[in-house]
Amino acid sequence: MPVNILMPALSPTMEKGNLAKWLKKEGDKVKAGDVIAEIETDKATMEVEAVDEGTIAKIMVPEGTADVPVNQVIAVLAEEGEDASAAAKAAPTAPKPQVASAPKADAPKPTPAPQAAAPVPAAPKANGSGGRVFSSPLARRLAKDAGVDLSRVSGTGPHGRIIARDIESAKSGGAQMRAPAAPSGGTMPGISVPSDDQIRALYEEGSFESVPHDSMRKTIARRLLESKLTIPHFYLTADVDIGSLLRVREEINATAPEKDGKPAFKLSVNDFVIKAMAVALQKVPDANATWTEGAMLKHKHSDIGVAVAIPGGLVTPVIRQAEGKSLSAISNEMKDFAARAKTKKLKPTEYQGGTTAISNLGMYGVKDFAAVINPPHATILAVGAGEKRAVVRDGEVVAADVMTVTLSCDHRAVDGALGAQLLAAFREAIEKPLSLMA
Amino acid sequence: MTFNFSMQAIDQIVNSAAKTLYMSGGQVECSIVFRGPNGAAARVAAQHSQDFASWYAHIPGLKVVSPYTAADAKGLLKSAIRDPNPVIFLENEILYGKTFPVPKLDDYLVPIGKAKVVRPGKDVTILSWSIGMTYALEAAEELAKKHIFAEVIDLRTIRPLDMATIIESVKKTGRCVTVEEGWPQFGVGSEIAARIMDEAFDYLDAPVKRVTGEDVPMPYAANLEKLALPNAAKVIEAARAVTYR
Repeated sequence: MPVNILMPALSPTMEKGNLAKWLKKEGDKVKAGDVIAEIETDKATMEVEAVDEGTIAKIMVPEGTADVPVNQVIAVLAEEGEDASAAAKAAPTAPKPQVASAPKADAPKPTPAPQAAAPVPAAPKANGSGGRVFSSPLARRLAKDAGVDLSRVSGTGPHGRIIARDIESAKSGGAQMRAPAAPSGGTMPGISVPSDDQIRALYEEGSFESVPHDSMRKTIARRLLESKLTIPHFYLTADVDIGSLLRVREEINATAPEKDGKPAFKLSVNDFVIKAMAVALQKVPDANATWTEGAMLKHKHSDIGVAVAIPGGLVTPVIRQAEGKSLSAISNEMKDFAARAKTKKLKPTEYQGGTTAISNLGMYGVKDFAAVINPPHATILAVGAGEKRAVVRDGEVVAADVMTVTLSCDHRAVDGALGAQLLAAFREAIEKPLSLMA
Repeated sequence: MTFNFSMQAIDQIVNSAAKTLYMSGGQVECSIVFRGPNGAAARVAAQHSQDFASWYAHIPGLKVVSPYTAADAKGLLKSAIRDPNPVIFLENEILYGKTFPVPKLDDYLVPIGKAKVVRPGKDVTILSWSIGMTYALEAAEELAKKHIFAEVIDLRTIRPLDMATIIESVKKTGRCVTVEEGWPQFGVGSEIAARIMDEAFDYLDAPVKRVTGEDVPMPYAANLEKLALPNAAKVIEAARAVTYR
């Protein structure tokens, strides 16, 4: 039996992904565990491993194909002893069997199969071949009764069939809902936005370059629009004195033990900010929360997301249980996250969830700003540049190292006074950095 | 004598018994009960291990009854004898050795044409009769441990089918698995699947699945005979397929 290799779901919410690269070609032998392809999701590039042993009989989705739905057949594997070309012919969604795909037959033209077998990008809504949505009769009836649009539900049944439980979870607003019809998150019901053509008409033809959105851009647009439309934000700003922080930091870095001829760690101001936020959330646990319609989720740990700018967008890896980690551990974890974020090698589990986030634009000289809350968090801390400022201390004007931070709060979960308590706890932690060493 | 030998008299059963009332314009009744062991016993090979349920259920003019419990066997046999029509009464040799409680009543009757919900459930309907019920009930017990709650229905009568009970259950569960020892092609499960599709299409969340005997003459070798017959594992597999779990 030829084995179908399906587009994997790399995270529970993944609906489609880009097939970035094939590492094996038709006719190649693979064994279980071999990396056969690279899949690109909104924020990461992941490797697909072969589960079975055999020969790649046919590649159904060529590399570089965008928006391949989860569970779509991406290749066919002929098992041991099977004729690879026969398996290729038996490939399920091949529009027409390709006779010339046996590996040894020199095909006269360089690209025989892939083009015929790429019906994918044209039909993003279809969960099966042929451009239609497959759903069970019961699912269709339930969807009709509930007013759920089937094209927005992703199916979890065989071949992506939409089954009754998918409708149930779509009704309860679960993760099975696809992005609204415009996947860029461009529109919400009841709000009219100018069409693409209307916007283009404002600019002279040829005066701009049109760059299609990649999946990260679409995700950023959708999530942050959702955040601003559904979360009542309010903002609290404070100046914090980082004089002793800078002194402590210098001292610690100067005495860092050496490992392989290099210091074992080099703490940044941001590492202190992460730790201080983690400690502050533990002191004000009511602010370490997530709003859901049914209940308030009160988190036990401080899982701090840290926004990392990467080419074309940003990603927010999460330092889990940061309250219990040492500054050097946080620092090294952050360095690893930042490096892997830039090459899109973060795993979804590393950037999903979290209980708050930190966005630091200090290195660009930004004095202060307000950040958009990254759902499901209830808060985000926007950190400006540390700079020498004139402050009044004991009735005298003196120079001090000051940094302005702004806490954005979800008013549904964190009220004004509670947010202020959190910010005060943060300020106390960061102004007394030795308390972070405990 | 088992039902395997009824083929010697199948002309009398199909052409005479089943059609007499019709061809006499309703003037001549044919009140006969044909009873005997049906289906596979154990190691009696291809010619003596056949399930005739779908054969006789195919014929208008016949009633086909096949009990699982001793109480149903008693109550249905009495009803069959009292019925004015020819009734095929399919018993199972292996079930002869199984003990069931039987109510002590003077005149205990079980009506022909009534299925029985033996085990209520909400996730999948498992339909069977006769010895198939042992696999169905064993499977339901195992499935419950995996939090799949199967509703098990004992058809008891194959013709006429109690579609009302079947449809009511399938509308509730949205999924159906049939279990029979007979061959898959044109079997009782096939007919039930077609009728469910007709009457409860909008309630189905998965295709109806049949668990049947394998599509081969019954092997004599004990190991192959075991493989050719349905069992609880096959029923569990089918139930998990239709519940997508």
